[in-house]
Amino acid sequence: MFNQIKICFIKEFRYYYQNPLVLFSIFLNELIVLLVFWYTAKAFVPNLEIFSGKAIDYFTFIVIGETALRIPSFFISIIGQNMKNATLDGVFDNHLLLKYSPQYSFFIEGLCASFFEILKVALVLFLASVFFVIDITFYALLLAIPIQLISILIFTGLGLISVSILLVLKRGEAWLMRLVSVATILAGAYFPTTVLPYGLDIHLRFASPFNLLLESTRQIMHEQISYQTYFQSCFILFLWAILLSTFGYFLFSKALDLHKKSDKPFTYLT
Amino acid sequence: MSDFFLTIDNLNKTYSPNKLVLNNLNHSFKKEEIISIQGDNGSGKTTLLRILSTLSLPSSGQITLDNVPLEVVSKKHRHFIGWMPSGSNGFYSKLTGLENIYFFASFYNLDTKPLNQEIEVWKNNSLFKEAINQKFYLCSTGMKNILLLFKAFMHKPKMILLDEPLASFDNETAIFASKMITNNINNKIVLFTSHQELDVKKLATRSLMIRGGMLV
Repeated sequence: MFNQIKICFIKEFRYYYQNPLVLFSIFLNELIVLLVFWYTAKAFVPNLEIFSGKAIDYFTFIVIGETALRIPSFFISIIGQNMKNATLDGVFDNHLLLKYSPQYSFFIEGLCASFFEILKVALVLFLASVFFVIDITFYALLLAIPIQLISILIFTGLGLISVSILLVLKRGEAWLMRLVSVATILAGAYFPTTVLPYGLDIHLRFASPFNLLLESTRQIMHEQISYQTYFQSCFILFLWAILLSTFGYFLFSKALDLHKKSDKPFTYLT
Repeated sequence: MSDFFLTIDNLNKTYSPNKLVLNNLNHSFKKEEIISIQGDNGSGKTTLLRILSTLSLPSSGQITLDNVPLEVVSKKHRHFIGWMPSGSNGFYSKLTGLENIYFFASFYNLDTKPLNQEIEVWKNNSLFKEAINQKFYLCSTGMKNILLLFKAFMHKPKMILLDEPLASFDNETAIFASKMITNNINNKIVLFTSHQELDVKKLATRSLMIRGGMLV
């Protein structure tokens, strides 16, 4: 596995980060996004009250929303992205013939790609704390790590489900991205879910792991969570992880059989 | 237990009700045979190779490799198969030849030491030697194909399927590639497609022709 991770790192670096200009543009992009968040927060919403009487700066609120969902939701798109790149390079068939399953090889590639995404999240938090004011403690960040790790499995499962749709229909990538955006917005990445129509936020908490993940992370960050609630959230997310990763793996296998039966190329190649 | 290494029974492949590509195809092959499959364009050569490689599922029929049904190979023993596609793609374009080899070797769980020894042997060919340090998208068609040929053999599969393997090589590399194929045939079977009569004579121990969806 060490060799697999090492070579996948090299591949990721060669494909996306080799040019120093790219690294500079990432830095600049994150800084500009933070600037927009900062001035929006200062101009329109001086503070926000979402947890039992604690006023929270909107800038902190939105930065947590962005960063908490960024790595897990990255796993929804990265498997499809890896599959697309493999298809464009004519490597997809080779993945189907490896000793390990394609689910595994694409996941390992995604894992290595996520390392660079983690660095970007660290950069955002660093910039937010150095150039702006953000109310997050190191202890809260440590508590958020297990929740993020469990969520990776949830979102890998969702990624496999979405890739299965791509395998069968040979298209639909744009729609999948839109669905992720809607789920992110409904999870409250940019506003509190209390502004949603009455009762919808409660239903979403049970129906969408995005909501549970984000709400738990926010409570951790604002130190408004008891250990009991923390472990309860971890447990529920873990159940989501088992359910979705198993279902995703199974669905991908079935979609692969259909793909082999039809033997049709992907539309973005034709 | 069959005496044959590879058996194909009543194989059919249709893409639509009026497009029958393989028609009740039956054949058996012994170990260490190098079989050429010839036929007109669109006769089903590549389709047959893709079915044997498990990349495409047949509409009906049974295939066994070393007495293991191909469905089981597809699920549990994918490394039994070595595959070289036509069209000179099959490696990541922004990685070098060597990085691509290491990429796939890592997912076959190959040890680095014997792999490097094998690479040294293949480096006797100047085209391969040049190709391993070149980014794949910068490689010539011949360089790409010698890398892909190496990849098809590197994990010691039982069945090697090559889609027009020698088509883009100059004479020196074609001789080298043929030598590598014949030297590495122990406990394996090689099936390849070709339009070149000379390649067939150089390499094949037996030649078959696909006509009307059947092997003759």
